Amino acid sequence: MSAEAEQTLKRRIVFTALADYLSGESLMQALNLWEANYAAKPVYALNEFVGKLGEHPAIAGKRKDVIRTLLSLSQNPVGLLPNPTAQHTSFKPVARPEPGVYPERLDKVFAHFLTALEMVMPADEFVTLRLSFLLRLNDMPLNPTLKARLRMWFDSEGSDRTFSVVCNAPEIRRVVNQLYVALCEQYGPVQADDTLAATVMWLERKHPACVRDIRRFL
Amino acid sequence: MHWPALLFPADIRPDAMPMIRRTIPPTVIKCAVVVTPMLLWASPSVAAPEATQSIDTVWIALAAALVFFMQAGFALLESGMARSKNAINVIMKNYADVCLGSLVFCLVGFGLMFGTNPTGFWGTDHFWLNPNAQWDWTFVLFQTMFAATAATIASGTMAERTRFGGYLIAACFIMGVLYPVFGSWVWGSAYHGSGWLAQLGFIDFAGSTVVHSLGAWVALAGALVVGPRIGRFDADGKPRRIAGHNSSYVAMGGFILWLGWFGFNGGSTLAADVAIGLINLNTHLSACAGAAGALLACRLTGVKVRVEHVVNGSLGGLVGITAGCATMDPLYAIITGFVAGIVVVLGSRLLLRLKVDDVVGAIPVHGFAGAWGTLAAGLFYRGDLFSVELVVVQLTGVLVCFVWAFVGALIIYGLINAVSPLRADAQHEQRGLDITEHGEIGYPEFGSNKAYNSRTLEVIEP
Repeated sequence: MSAEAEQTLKRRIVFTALADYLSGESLMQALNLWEANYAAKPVYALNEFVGKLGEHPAIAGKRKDVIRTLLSLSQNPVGLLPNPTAQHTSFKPVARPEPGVYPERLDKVFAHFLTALEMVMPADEFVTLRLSFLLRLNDMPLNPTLKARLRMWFDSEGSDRTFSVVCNAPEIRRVVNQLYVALCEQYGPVQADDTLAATVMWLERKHPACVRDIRRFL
Repeated sequence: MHWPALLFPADIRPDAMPMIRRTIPPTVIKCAVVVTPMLLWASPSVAAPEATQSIDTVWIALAAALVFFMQAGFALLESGMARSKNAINVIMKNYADVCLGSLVFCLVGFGLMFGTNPTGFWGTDHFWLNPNAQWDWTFVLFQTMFAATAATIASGTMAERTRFGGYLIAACFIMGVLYPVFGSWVWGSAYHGSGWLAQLGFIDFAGSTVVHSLGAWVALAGALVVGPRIGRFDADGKPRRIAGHNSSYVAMGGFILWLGWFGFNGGSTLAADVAIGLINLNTHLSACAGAAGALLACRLTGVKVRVEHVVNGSLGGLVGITAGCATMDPLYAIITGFVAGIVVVLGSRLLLRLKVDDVVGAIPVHGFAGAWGTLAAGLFYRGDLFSVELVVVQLTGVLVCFVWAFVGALIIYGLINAVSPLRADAQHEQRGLDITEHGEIGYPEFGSNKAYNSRTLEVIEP
């Protein structure tokens, strides 16, 4: 592998790992910080890098999880996001955020959850679940934007689906619960419990950094 | 006091109830044998000599301990039939309803049930642990254990979807009002006066109806108020099997209940007496026959025989014989138990057709088998077999119990539900009541491949 390809791979690893916690400007600033100070350093320097990011509310308290994800992706670079080169520019210092300014960004984690659910369920059963959930969606007490995003996701197929919206844990918890109720009614509570467990296990394997947030949905 | 003619079967043998013969005049014996021998024995006016009373006290205190041990049986049986995510909640309900209910019964229920009963409808004294004689303490102890049994029956039926707080409030009302008032109609002659059903000649020696059916009708009302668990029935109304998490617990619970029943029925003599041998033999044979009846019913209906069928069959036999264990010959006890076992299996199927979700099968075991056993106590009454009059009285008692307990419990559960939902919400059913009600996990060292495990507890939000 050429030095440039290796650098691109490293960048994608960092970008993918941090995308579970940060988004938009914050993510770009974190990536720039890595690019400017740690890109040329060995793997163990990631510890210091993540330590600096620890001031960010979305990372605070999750240092171990972030490092674990970074190391896991370094050893097994599967499911990486595309190279973000075009999106970021030169390094800008990370501004210290005001406490509480950052809204929770759990949408990516929830998107992983939905993907996991699709992966662990037989295709035809998942289609039935999608339809059943769409029927329930109107009656669910959620903010309209989230509802619209959910409708879009459950209405579309495969690679067309994206899920990006500001949402908090209680809202996502309600959505997950309605998915569980739909599963119970379709296949019974035993299979619903099994499916939920399989989904969480799949996520723990594929996105170990998200584990803590995933459990907040349950 | 006037006693109907049917209370005096011509061939009651004095040796059938020797403990009563010892101290009570023959005319009283006849009434006592038919109605509730133990309660007359409790009266200070017919107190036994001190030495005999000491032995009686030892036996009844031991029997009370055996009846208390039945709570462990209920806890294991019900917990084993629930899923692991609700195991602690079931145990906690069993544990807590005994604790709170015992206090309520001792302070209020005992007086309502056994206090002086001039109208035949409720007791009017002996509230707030206010005994007349030393023996009364033993009597209160034993009867408190009985009351606890009646209250705990509903917990199994309503498991996995009922809130802890609402359930406990209802249990207190059941032990404080519903159970003792009905009990006073049948057994309310401990001090002065007599219950109106007792005056009709209703036979319920140890409580097939008073304790077990009453508990089951309460459970039925509770099951209707909280509704079935999410997904228990499919869109066509067909039931889905939700297996319990530990069949070994179920079997162990069955054995413990069986053991406790020797105190439940044997102790209902309220005296250490030779009659206990027959009573407990009947109890044992009926339980065995109940299991055999359940096996046959499973075979005939093409259902695979599971642990719960056999255990519930034997429990049905135990419930069934409870009314007539002192007034029935062993062969009839076997018939009573055998039919009870069949009733349990068929009753479970009936409930599923009616879309009633009874997690542990308590309604067929305690309700249907209890009703059958109460009728059988009249049907197979020693010395007056197959008496239509007696069966009519028994049927009256069974129906009255159903109306009182079911309607009363519907009102209690309905009121609680109106103030604060009795039904746990869907999120709680998803997580399991162990986490949502108690913040615990039943098996924290196992089940790492479950959605909810000890790691979940670290981050879970209300």
